[in-house]
Amino acid sequence: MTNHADEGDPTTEPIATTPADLSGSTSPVGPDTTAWQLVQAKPWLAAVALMFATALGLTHGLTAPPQVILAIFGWMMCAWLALRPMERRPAPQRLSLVGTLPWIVVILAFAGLELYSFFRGSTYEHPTLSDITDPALDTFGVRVAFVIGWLGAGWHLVRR
Amino acid sequence: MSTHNLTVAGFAAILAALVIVDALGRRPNSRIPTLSDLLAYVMRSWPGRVGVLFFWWWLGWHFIAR
Repeated sequence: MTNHADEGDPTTEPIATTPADLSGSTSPVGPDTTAWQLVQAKPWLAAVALMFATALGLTHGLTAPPQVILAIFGWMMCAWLALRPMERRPAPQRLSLVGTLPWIVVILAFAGLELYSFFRGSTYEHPTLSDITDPALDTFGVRVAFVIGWLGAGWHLVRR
Repeated sequence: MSTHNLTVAGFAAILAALVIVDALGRRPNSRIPTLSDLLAYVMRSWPGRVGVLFFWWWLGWHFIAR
């Protein structure tokens, strides 16, 4: 059977793929929907994400408001993922060991530098990544941009 | 060059390497997986999925609530 929805034919009705589709309510959101396409399909969701990012952007440092907001968001995300399983893009069944080697090198290099800086005391001379990014993440615009990027990455992850 | 600048340069080099490796993975018939494919491979199992999603959530927590 040919999946015409994958061929980008705008005249073809999208095939029901998600539980919401199968239960009768048609949704333009599928496993290949990018965060940007999601924003275009559901502008209200973009508004909620923007309000969420703005609320976090207005907070500062290690205080109760960002911790409470992120904790509630974390629990809501767990509940949403548990109650509404989504169709995901197929994962590769095998990965080449040689092909994975560059990733292992990058991850080990990052972990090594981060741990080295951490155990040297996270000082000015030996900063961890978060020490370096802290001054920028203390400004409203960067915080909002970071949260939006973080939400987009999360959307990508739950579809994989 | 101070150790501070060396460390910042180290993190910048690692970030650049991440972008380059991911770009290499997007070439046709590349044996290198993209970061997305690598994470999807890890997330095939339930513990892997929970671990990756928790790590993502923790990243937001770590950078915003500190």
